[in-house]
Amino acid sequence: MYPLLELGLLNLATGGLTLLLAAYWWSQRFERRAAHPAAADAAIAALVAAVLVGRLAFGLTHWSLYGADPALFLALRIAEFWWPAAYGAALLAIVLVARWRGAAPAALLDAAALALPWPQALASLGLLLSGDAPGQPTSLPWAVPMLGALRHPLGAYLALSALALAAALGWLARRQPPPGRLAAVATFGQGVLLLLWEPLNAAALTTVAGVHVVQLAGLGLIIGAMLALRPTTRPLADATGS
Amino acid sequence: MTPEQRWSWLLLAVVAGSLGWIVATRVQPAAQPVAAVVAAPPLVDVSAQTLGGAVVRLSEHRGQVILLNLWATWCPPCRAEMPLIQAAYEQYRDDGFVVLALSQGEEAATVAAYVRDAGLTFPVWLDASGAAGRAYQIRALPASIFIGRDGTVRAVYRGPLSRSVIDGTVAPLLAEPGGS
Repeated sequence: MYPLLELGLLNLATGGLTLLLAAYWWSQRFERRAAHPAAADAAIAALVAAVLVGRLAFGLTHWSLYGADPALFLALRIAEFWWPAAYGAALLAIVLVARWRGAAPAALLDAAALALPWPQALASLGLLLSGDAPGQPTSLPWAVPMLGALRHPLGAYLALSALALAAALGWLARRQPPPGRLAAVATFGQGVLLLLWEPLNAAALTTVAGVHVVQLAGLGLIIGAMLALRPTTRPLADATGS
Repeated sequence: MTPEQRWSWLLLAVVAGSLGWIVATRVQPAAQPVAAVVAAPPLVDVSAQTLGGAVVRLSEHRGQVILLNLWATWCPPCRAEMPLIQAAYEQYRDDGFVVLALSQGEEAATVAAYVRDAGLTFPVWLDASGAAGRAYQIRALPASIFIGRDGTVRAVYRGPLSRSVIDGTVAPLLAEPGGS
């Protein structure tokens, strides 16, 4: 675990550094894939929305702490963002900017979704490096020493899952799916990721009756994605072109 | 069956399977002690001073579940978590839980005034030289080190604690059998 990188007089937080790099990398990939003048604005809006809403949701779900000191909403703490809310806010921001700039929202969403998994994998590895995403204790052979115990390398699991999602989206993109489908599949994947790994997250104990709230949010993403992917039968008149 | 109907059934199946997974992986308080911890580092027996000037050592509390909290009065997140730590202390102290709050590099008078105003009843010690921070490789405040009854470090959290994190860490440690 290397939370700080000492470079001369500088003490750089590795988690924050990788998160910033990941955000920049995503915005570059997004703009390149979207190839639309609105993409730069959409990228900035998405990042701002993700930061604001992600922190707000984290604070509200940890109100016992944030209520005692509301200044924490503005604190530089990279692990204190609620990912499902940040993800949803970013998607919404992209749609709003696309409509405002006269771009096709589905095309921008697809580009954003396709650009995300690789930077997401980098950010996940950053969390592993900084120790901000400790897994539950385990005696499995690939456990890593972290925070006083051998633990699941949750950051590595998240990174590998993001890479698997990248592969799936890349395969799908080569088949040139209808607009919006890549974004829906990516959202489905993000939901699965939350559903699958949250139980191994030792630092996220926000529960209702023992149920991880983040898993419920993941299920919400899955349902939303499946509703968006639902096949629709075109009326016969449309199908025949008359 | 139309494609829409098939999709609806698939959606239902996915939701049902997901809910099953969510229920199966829910947190079950006190059902099991924490998973086996391998090669947990031993307690670093730091010494400190009480607000009255007496020299004390961490090892004096061996056999108890210890929350060693590194903090300072000038640190806003440290102050934010103090009421939660106090509440947890009041809830669990009769079960063998103790909070040892180590103020980092501060004067006794400053710390004593804060402790009085905040109504803290757990031991608050002075770590004038920051020895505990160095021993446990802590570079930012607050930091919380949870030590089991057997005297091994069981968890280290950097940043402020929420009540659910305290409860989720302390309750399983208290359920473990006592150490030597």
